[in-house]
Amino acid sequence: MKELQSPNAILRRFEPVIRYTRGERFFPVAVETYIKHCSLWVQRPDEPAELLVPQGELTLEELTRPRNHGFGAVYFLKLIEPPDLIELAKYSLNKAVKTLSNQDGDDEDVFRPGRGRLARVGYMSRLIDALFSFSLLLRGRVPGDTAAAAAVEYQRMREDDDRFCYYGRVVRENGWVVVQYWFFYPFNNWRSGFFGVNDHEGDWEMVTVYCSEQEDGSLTPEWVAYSSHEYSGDDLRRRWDDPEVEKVVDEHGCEHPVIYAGAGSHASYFSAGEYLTELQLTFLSPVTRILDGIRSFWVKKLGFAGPEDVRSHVFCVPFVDYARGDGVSIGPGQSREWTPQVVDTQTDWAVNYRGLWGLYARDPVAGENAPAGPVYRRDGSVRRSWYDPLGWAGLDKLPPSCEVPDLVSERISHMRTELSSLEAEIREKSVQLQHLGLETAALQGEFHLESAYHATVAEINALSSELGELRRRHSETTAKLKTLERYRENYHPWDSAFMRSHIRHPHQPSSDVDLRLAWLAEIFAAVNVGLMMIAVVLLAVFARQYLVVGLAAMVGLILLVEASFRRQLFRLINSFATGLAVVSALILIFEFFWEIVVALVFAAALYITWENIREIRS
Amino acid sequence: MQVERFETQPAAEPGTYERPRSVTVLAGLHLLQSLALLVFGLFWMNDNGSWSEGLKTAEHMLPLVLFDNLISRDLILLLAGLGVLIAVALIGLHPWAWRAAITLQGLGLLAGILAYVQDEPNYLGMLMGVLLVLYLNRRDVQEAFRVRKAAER
Repeated sequence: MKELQSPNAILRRFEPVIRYTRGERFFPVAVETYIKHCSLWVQRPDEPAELLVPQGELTLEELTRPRNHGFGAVYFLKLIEPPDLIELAKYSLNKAVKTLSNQDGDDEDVFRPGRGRLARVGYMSRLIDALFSFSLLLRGRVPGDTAAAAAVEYQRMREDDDRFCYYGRVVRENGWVVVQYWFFYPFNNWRSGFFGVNDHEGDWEMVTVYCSEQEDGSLTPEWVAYSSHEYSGDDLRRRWDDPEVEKVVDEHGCEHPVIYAGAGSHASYFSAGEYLTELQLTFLSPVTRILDGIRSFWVKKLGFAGPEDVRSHVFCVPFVDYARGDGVSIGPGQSREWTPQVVDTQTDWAVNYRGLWGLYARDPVAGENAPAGPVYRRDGSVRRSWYDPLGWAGLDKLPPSCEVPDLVSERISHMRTELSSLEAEIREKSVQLQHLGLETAALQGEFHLESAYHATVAEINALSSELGELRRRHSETTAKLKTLERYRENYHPWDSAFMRSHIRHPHQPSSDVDLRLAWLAEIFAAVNVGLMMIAVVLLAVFARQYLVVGLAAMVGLILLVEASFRRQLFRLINSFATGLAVVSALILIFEFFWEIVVALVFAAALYITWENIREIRS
Repeated sequence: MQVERFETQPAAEPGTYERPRSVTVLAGLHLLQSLALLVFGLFWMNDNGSWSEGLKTAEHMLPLVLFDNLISRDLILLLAGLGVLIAVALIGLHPWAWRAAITLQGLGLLAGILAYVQDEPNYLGMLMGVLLVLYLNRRDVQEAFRVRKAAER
């Protein structure tokens, strides 16, 4: 067991298998190889970017050299210099030929999109999506040919270094042994390659295995957490024995978790599938909050039918993250194996370079800017997953299972002590209260002691309420103590009842929407936003007087057709009728405000009278 | 992405589901509305579609004649008959009755708002429509008709 204690051995023991989607272009590389193909730049506010170290001259030592370019300076790497057009054309041609010659789809290099995200979501989301895509023209973005150029550059990197690397870190904290695996991808081509949210140079992803350490030094994996976009907290982690955590057994009989990586985004998922990811539009959040408030009032306060989850998804841009796992697999027992590299607080490039690991596109939404390294966020502050790996996955409140019985006993012992002290205090105050009670009985009616009598009564009231609070705490602590004792008796580290109780919003692969005439629905979803915009322009130019009516008619028609495709026609009709009922109710309130007030007062008067008469009769 | 939709669950065994009181109220309101429409249809005086003065006054006093200024007498009678049929089916907790009722109320309220905009309001009809839509959206009513919103993500 001794050799298990070295970080390298621990990393090897639990290293994951990553399954990619067909068509994935970029796989984890060694940072030193990547650096060799990059230049280093600094961007100061309101100035053009300045080249610090040209491509070919950058090393890890050079990267971490102390630099100071003042407040607001952003250091960043640049992988893609102006691309070689001939090489780019050659690459694109090769890719096209490969795609065309693999119509049967058995090549792990060729991506075939399934039913697109547009057909999976509602009309409003698609309209927002169209506006989001349009905003890319105004925001900073990674140029269109960069992904192809990055793929060419990546091929060169592979020629220099064909290893698939991860950067592993082993941390001991609160009784846990935290094993982190960081993966660095030269490029994220989610937008240009897989119809996703963004493209950016450099991409860091992370997986963590949480182990308990036994007395003999062996490690038992208990939890595993995968980084996925901006998610954090309890929802990220799964218990090791959760059926959702797929595992591969190596030749030594050791289990390794399986990750399904999102195509282009490299986000990590527990199960293979196509995940619908929503991008929240922050500028629309006030509208979303109002809608959520109305829906919450409608469902929770008024008790009308509606979804329990009242969060509004209307103003979110939907994207599909394809994590099919039908492409390349890297890891133990696969055709491609990992090369581990240990990273810790002494690793120079990780700790001393706070800049971005790719192009700074000056995107205010930040989606197109490269990320910082494993230790830092884009603004130079330390990532929570680095300084608090337990809290990042919501595990800071849980001890390793082997420590649970002792900790519960300790807590029970604390509670018993607390109960004893409460009981003593209650006894003391009860006697004190009785004394005061006797005193007031004696003082009653004695005119010369009236003020003393009132002071004692006030003291009695205060003491009585204090005693009441102490008794409440005693009762609550007794109940908690019993529950804890029962928990200790019945505790089993792998009790399936608690396996998934911490998960609030599990991120599951989206199911195929039950579409009628799916191919037609797909085409309709793809074209209707554009068609409607063209129709608006035509109406505005040729028949402006019918613009509002025409627009309402078009939207109504589209909604009807779409609801029909989705088999949600009656949901639409109900929403429509409810909306009209609200408008009608407002009209009635507007027209008959005083009559309504009078009627309500009259009804209240009748009700009160009736209740009182009933009381007299009974 | 949350996809809400109406799902029809397998029909309950006869006699295994007790009818909530709100369904009875709903059916009663619907019946009342349909009967009012029927009365108007039957007392339609002229074939050219105009009302007698007495009925014109009464029109604004009685509940729901939301369609009166839009459609013909035959259609009113047809709608009234359909309304009675739906009311009976609501008592029988048939899922299709819920769907038909919400569709009818949606159309009725639309006609009511259009009439209000054209300065020919029918407030009692609108009030009736509002009450019926609210009843149709009650959780216990939707459960009784085995028509529920499934929140899926």
